[in-house]
Amino acid sequence: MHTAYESERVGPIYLIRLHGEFDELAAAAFREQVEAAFAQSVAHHLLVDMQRVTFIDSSGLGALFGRYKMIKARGGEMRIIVSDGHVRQLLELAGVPRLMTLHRNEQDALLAFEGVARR
Amino acid sequence: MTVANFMTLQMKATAENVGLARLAVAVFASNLDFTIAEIDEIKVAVSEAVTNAVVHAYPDAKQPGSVVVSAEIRDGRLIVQVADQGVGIEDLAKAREHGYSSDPERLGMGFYFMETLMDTVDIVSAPGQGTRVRLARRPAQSPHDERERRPAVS
Repeated sequence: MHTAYESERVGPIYLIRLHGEFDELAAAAFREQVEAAFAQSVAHHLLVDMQRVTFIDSSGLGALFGRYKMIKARGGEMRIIVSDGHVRQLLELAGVPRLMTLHRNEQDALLAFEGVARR
Repeated sequence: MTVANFMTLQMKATAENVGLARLAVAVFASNLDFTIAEIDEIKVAVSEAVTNAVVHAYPDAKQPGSVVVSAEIRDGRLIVQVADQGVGIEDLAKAREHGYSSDPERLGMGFYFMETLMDTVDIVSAPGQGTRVRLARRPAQSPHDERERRPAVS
């Protein structure tokens, strides 16, 4: 069992705050939670806060790429908040920045979405 | 060839146990002078190997088999073996390709991460024979290296 991640609606953005180790087990919980939220059409964009994630592997990265495809297909944008360190390095190694912008804090990421909304 | 320490962990091949495997190996790896960053990388490589066993080795989710994670310190190197008795890998060269996965929902980055983060990755597998992945890494700043290192300028 995995408890739900803390999440919040900020206008058209679904913000989800991950924590701990983002592996095969956690990735499945994340996928279900995001898909359930978007099935209710509560949001258009996805913001994933990974500042409190201590570990990620290719299962976690796969879940991020999978949600990216889903959001993109719906015409939305996905952004990630991640601090410097090991988790950010693996996101870079996997090529995440080629598709999604990495921010260092929530404020910057939310401002960037506002730019999208205004277009 | 001296084995300074060894350990073996046998467990059910299930997603809940992947964290246990990488934590056990991380603690075991502290037998050597790895940096925290190196331990983080070893944890990722172990996670990839064990997750492969969990996800691919036993297709019948109702009957997961077991995975054995063993580690040893040999001649200043950490050697980790992850072995299952599952379906095995039919085309090993294909499985090791960056971006290839038998499951379209997956990235196919597991072996790429193992190869990037460890010094050597050896895989023995055949259909119906299970899979054994051997990962090895030596600390970048090990005393072993110090002895072997030659002056950069002569």
